[in-house]
Amino acid sequence: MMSTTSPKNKLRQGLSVIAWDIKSCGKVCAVFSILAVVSSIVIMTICLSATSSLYAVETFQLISMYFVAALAEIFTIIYMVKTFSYLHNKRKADLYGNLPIDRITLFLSKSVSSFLLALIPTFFFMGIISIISLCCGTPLGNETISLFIQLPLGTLAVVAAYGLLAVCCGTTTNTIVMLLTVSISYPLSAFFVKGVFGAFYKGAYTPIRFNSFIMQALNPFAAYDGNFIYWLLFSGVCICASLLLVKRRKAERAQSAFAYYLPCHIVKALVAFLFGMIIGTIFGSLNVFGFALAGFIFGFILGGATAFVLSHLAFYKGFTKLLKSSVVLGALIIVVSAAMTVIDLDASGFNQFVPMTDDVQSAGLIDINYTYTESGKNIGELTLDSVNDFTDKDTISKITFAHSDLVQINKRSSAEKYSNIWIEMANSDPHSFGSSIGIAYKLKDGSIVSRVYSYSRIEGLLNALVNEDYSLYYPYNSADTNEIAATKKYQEKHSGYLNASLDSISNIGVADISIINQSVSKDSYEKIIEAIRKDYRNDTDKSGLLYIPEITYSEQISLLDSNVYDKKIAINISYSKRNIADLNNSIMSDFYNKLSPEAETYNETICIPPTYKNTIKALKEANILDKDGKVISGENPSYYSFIDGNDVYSYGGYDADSKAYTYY
Amino acid sequence: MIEINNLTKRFDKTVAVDSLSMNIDKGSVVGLIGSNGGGKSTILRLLAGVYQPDDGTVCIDGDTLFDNAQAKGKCFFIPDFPYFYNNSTINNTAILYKRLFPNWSDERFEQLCSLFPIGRNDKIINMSKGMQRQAALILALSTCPKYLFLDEIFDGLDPVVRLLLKKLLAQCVSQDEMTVIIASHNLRELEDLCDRVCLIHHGKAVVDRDLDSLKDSYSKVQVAFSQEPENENPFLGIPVISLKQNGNVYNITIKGKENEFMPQLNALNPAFVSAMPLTLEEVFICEMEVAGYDVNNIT
Repeated sequence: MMSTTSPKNKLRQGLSVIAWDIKSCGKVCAVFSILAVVSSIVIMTICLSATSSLYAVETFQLISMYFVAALAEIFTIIYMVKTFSYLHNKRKADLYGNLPIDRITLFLSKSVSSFLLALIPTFFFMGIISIISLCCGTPLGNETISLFIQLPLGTLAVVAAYGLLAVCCGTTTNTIVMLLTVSISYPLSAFFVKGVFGAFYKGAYTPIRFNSFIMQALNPFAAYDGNFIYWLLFSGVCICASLLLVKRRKAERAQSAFAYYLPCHIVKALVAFLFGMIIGTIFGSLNVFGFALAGFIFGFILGGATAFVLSHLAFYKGFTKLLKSSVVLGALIIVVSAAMTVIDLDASGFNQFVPMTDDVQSAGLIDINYTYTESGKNIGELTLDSVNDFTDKDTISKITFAHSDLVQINKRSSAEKYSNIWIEMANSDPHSFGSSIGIAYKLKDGSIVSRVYSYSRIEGLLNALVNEDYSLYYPYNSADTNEIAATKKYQEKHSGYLNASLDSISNIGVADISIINQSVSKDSYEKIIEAIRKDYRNDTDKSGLLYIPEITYSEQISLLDSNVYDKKIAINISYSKRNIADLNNSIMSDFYNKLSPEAETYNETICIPPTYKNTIKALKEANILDKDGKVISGENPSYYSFIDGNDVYSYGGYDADSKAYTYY
Repeated sequence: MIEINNLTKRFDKTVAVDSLSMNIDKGSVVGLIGSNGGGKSTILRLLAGVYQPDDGTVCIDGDTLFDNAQAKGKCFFIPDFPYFYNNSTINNTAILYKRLFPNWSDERFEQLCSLFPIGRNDKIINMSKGMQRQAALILALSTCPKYLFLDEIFDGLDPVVRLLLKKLLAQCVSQDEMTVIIASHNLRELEDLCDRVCLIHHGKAVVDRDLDSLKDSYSKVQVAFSQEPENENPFLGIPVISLKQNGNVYNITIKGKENEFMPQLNALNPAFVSAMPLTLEEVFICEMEVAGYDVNNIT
């Protein structure tokens, strides 16, 4: 028979344990407080003396907040070790096993204790830093405010993960080692999987990026800056699993290596996979045995088995159960070897497939450098969306031809593919792409085939330097791809000047042969854009308009140089950001945004012919053009360039006092 | 009442408690004695609900104890090495226990604190072994448990505190009908305190009897003969457990009551015969010899 405790009593018991835990961690909290206070004072002093007064408080706010948050992450581990050690210390097991509190209530109380111990002092100090900033007249930045949300989520995920591992492990050392091992080896293993996929299946698109949650799925420390819903779910699953297991856990498991063995097998397999991949990839790229695949498998077995045995020794402090658990290693070697054989030999023919023009019903092409979208879709989705863009045989032929070129460019020996794994691992962010071209076909049998070829800047730079051929820096853009991107159909669908909302336009500059770039007042954006779109709709021929999408400034100048002579007006439009999912959701994007919001700007230039009367009229009304249709020099243009024959002189840094520009 | 039915506990391949069954009445003091690793501490942990039985049941007043907060509120277990946090004092630990144990008595706490000569605000981990046990006892008895499980509680206690402890336990048993189960190798102290003894060996109860009847069942007898007996084994038919001969004088341990074997001894016409009861320690050694745990068998 089992008598039950009322929920009210359970709550009372839980609160008692929480209060007791918080009290017993008082000294650790004191150490945290001292470190937080001293570091904040040091940071404030440095900021006030080393930074200009304008940004001193803002810098102090940001740095000290991040420092306190980082300190809190470290101390969270200390609190967790202390509070969950009742599962690992035999004498503590006696103490807590004797208390009249059921095991689930006890475990939950311990989890809440760790959570509160990590958060309360941190929030207290972050609150003080916020008050100091506000008193100094500096409002809290978005970064700072988001810390107040990220920190509880991160702490929750870390406490939940540690709690689950603590239930499964018999010792505190194993719990900590497991947590750190899984947090490091999982993301690295995920990178390897992605690297192999990217290196061996050029043209396959995956929206998984550097910071995608799947790349960090088992690393709870990633929750401090991660997907809110995923980490909330992760924490929930961990807590539920812990409660289920803690109820069945035998108290006498304290000081055994493990109470439940599954996490141990997973971690050992992860470590074996990671080290196997490292050695295997090195051996594969070195073409060991003259057969890269054999070299890879040999290296994988060597690295994997060594790591497996070493991790077993670390967890079990000996060879106990090594033979039994080697089944996991055996299974891993068989699965990876089989998978790599299929991948290496391209059994599906994925890399070689280019459809015959006659088999294609319609096709589409996306050049990421020439694409603006409001849809927020990723490159793969945009590519699939373009599948019905071109139905004429001529364009389809150009697309298949460009596709064949891309297949040839990406033809690699097996050993080269293994070398490329490293590059593809680093190439997890679209910002590292030199170019990215998507191709989609709807075949006559109804099936749809799509490929997205992305070329890494690192690979491009290396190839360009090694071969002293700088065309290799952007090898994917061919005459065919450029021609397709210049078509009116492509512009109507993917250009900014025809599709962008007014909100996303950050700057409009106008240029002609004599005066280049005059910033237009924001009030006139709507009229000018509407006029361009009206003229475009009325323009049946459309051969007079020149569309020059995302290109570098110097390229833009030289293009203008060759095109503005025939009395064209060049309008340069900047957009605050393109809503391409891959570009927005990337770690580099976050970094760029933090560094400089302008870094994300996308530019395109259109050279309008004199027949675009509405546009010219709108520019005149905005006082950009004079009555003769020439660009008027503004009071404060963002930059100024002057073309003299083939030479371009650029000026910047307008000084209002001297009314002059600095030459650069 | 404690009912133990077919209780079994295994640690991997080791069977620590093997199909143990017994009932312990309210208000009794039971001593668990036995060989090292015999399973005494495991039995106490099973009784206290620290361990979950692999087979069988332990019920206290009809309730199973494992993971049963309500039933645990009636019990208290002091292990052989009680754990205290670095900052634990008697006073601050009392705050936690007061919130958790339903029968906590402030009055008894104050009374016990004044009886035991230790500081209530001193850190317990800085105290000596004996003082730590006293601290554990103060806290345990303040929860007014109906069932108290003590593991090697006399270890490290000085004679005065031992006496005090025995007095306190006797008082609790007589006044509150508290049931006490003590596992100890200190048989001398158990002899004073227990009314029942359970001898545990290899996880099984070799002997489970009232202390008095257990002691009555053995006798130490000195027999002297004027002449050396003709018979090589003069005590044939008498349940002799051990025998030591020194000339015509025999020191023998006999299993059985005095009135049962005395007529047989007198029939041998001894010059002198004297029977004395055995101490618990001597009973223990005898019983363990019977169970095969003989000093001569330990290699």
